[in-house]
Amino acid sequence: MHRLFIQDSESPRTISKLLVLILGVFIGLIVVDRALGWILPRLTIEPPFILRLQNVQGIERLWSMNGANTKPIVFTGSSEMHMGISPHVFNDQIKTTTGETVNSVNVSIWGSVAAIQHDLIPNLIVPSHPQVVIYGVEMRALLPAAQNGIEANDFWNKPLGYAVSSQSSIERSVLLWLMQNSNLFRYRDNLREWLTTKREINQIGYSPTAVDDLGYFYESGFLDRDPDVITKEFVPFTASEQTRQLMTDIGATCKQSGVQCILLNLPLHEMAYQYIKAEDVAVYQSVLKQAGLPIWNFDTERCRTALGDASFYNLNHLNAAGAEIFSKWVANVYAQVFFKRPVQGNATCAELNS
Amino acid sequence: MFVSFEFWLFVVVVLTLYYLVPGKWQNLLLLVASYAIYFYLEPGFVLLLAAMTLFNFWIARRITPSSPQRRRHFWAAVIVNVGVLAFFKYALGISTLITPILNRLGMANEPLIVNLLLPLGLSFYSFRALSYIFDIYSRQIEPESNLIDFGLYIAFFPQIVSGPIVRPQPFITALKNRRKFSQEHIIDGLTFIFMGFFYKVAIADPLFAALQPSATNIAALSSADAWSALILYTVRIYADFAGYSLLAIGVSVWFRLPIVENFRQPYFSRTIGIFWDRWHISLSTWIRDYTFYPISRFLLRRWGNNRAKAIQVIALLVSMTISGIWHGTGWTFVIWGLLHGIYLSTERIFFPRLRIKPKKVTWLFWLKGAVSLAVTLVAVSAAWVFFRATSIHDAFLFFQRLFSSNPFNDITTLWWIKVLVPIGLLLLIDLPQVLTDNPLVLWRLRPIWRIIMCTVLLLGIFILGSQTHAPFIYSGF
Repeated sequence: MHRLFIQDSESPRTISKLLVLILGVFIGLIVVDRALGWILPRLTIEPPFILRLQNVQGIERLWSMNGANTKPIVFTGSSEMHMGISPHVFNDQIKTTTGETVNSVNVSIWGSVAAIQHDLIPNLIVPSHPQVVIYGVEMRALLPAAQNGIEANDFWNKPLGYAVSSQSSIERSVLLWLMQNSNLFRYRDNLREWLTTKREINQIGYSPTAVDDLGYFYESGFLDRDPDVITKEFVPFTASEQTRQLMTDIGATCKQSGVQCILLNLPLHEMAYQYIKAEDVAVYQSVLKQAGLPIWNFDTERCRTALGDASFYNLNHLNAAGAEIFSKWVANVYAQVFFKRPVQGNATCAELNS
Repeated sequence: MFVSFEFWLFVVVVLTLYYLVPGKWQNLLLLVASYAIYFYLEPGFVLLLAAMTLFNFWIARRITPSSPQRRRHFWAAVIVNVGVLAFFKYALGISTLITPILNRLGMANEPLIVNLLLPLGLSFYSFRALSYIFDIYSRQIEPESNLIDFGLYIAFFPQIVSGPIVRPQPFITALKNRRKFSQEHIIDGLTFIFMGFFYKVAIADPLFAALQPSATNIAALSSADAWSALILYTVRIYADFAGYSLLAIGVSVWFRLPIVENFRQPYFSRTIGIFWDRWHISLSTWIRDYTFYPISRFLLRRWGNNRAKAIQVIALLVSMTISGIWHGTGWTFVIWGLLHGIYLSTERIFFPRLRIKPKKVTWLFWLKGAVSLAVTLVAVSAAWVFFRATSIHDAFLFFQRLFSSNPFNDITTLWWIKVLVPIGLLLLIDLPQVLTDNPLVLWRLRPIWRIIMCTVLLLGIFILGSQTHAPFIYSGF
């Protein structure tokens, strides 16, 4: 038994033996990597933890679309966008309205403030050759204090956040390539959390099946209409040089890369406007204009009324019913802008500024 | 220092220059590099390091056999070295003990010493200096005439923060010759560094966060949590310090300078005596040579051979208590040292034949060995409770939590994973080392197993490592 593992004497250490060892380890890592790709999906329903929370599915679909040379319409933003736009509904509505087939994907990330999008759009979305980028914005994500908050730092500490925020383009490219192609990289944080007993397998705090294959987060329920979220996270709205610069940079990135980007101002529950004042809205809109991009404003009084209370999960997130309506509205506006089809019905509630 | 990218970049640059410059410049280059690193890590105390070096260099030449007042200079050297160490290490502790008394007497209103910092590596480099003084006084070596070589012996950067405590004779002798580049040494160094990273990054660091709750809120620990904390701290302190030592050894091997093996799978010891032959070897041999033997000799001269056992016990208790005090202020360290002194004395008196391996190894030997190994491990782990606790009260509270209820009621699958994963990782590297009795075990394995082993170690580092590293436990001593 002993002799099966151990040699009679120590091997002489030479560079050639070291190189053989390195090559052997490299092959060993590839074998393990491929094996994990087979084992892990059978062992767990967890998505790879390249992100802090939900929506690895959206990111992975974006990568697979890029691999298939498909130019998608990319929805990005924070949780409001994640819960508000269903790419399946959007695609179907475009098909119904125009007869055209489009491929869209939602890559929104929870807690995604402008500083995160500032990294994500130029380093992840634009390199995937999208047809159009629709960036869902909200006051909360543009508040100066939120730009370096816990959620933002949490994102940057996760593999995807670390990669897209890397200043070195070589490091960024290598890491993003590994995240797309290596199971070890993709599942590294899952394995780490299991082995260090941070949590049990599949105990991730939400149901991974709540996110569909195109990155939409399905939530059919309702929460209390607690105004705290508005009074603590939205207003009083202020702007800073940093947030203005972030929006300017995002706009410049889109223009320089030749990708059509649109800012989508997401609707809030009408009750939210008991706490949001006209001056808050004015400052907010001035920050949005900084990007120099077209703005599709769905946070109008007509839109809020048309959506109604039943469309909202809480004061700032749509539920599944609301997302169905809203995704169709956005598709109708998209059809009007890109396919010259007239907007009909409640979708006319949106105000478009180019 | 060993976990930063900048450090390794620095090492590679210094190493390249080291093998390019003529032999006479190699030591100067290393000395400058060592002081540069020390200045970077501890700018406030670099002058203390230089002053201690100069003082020991100067006084050592006055304790040679031909020197007048040799004895007086020797004691001056001991007092200064121990005094500086004691001042920085224990003054704060002592002042907190006596300040309330002085307050009561109306002699002081403020704490006597506020925020006294322990200079980085002082415990280690002052012991190296003492080694040098003792060896000259006992006529084992001659005083060094080259200040650069002596300065390098004291400040050699891989060993300055946490040792190992290298002896002067082999180190200074090695400095006298040009060190030539050898690919075998580079690969050996790399092997040690690789294993050191595995110990530190894959085993010790992940346990830092896991052990935090058991350090801060002992009273709230369930029995099962207390047991897991006991086991995991036993694993962590070994992996952390052995990892550090291997990193230091690896870098020293790259420079082809002698260094001692600091750990030899200590948890596979059948007796506490064997444990101390394998744990922090550079310190335990230092304590043996410079405290245990002198105390034993002194008492033997006074009492004669008739009281050999009593002499052994006294020498062991004093030596191990000194070892405890060396680690830091506080009664917990004293008790930890004393406890090991008691263990060793008990072994010497009641089980003197336990560590002797019989000529013919039978199943009974293996059975006895397994029992002794388990008993030793339990005794060592129990002593770590005092080592880790911030007060005696906390230590006893921890023991109380261990037996507060039936731990099996709270043991879950997660508990087993938490405990068995680090143990498994430790065995992965320690077991083959025990079987081969070879620190470079990777090169004794058959090629295919070597590849598998290295792949697994690399996976451990990759999966369990994080960007933030827990501080090395022994850098605090």
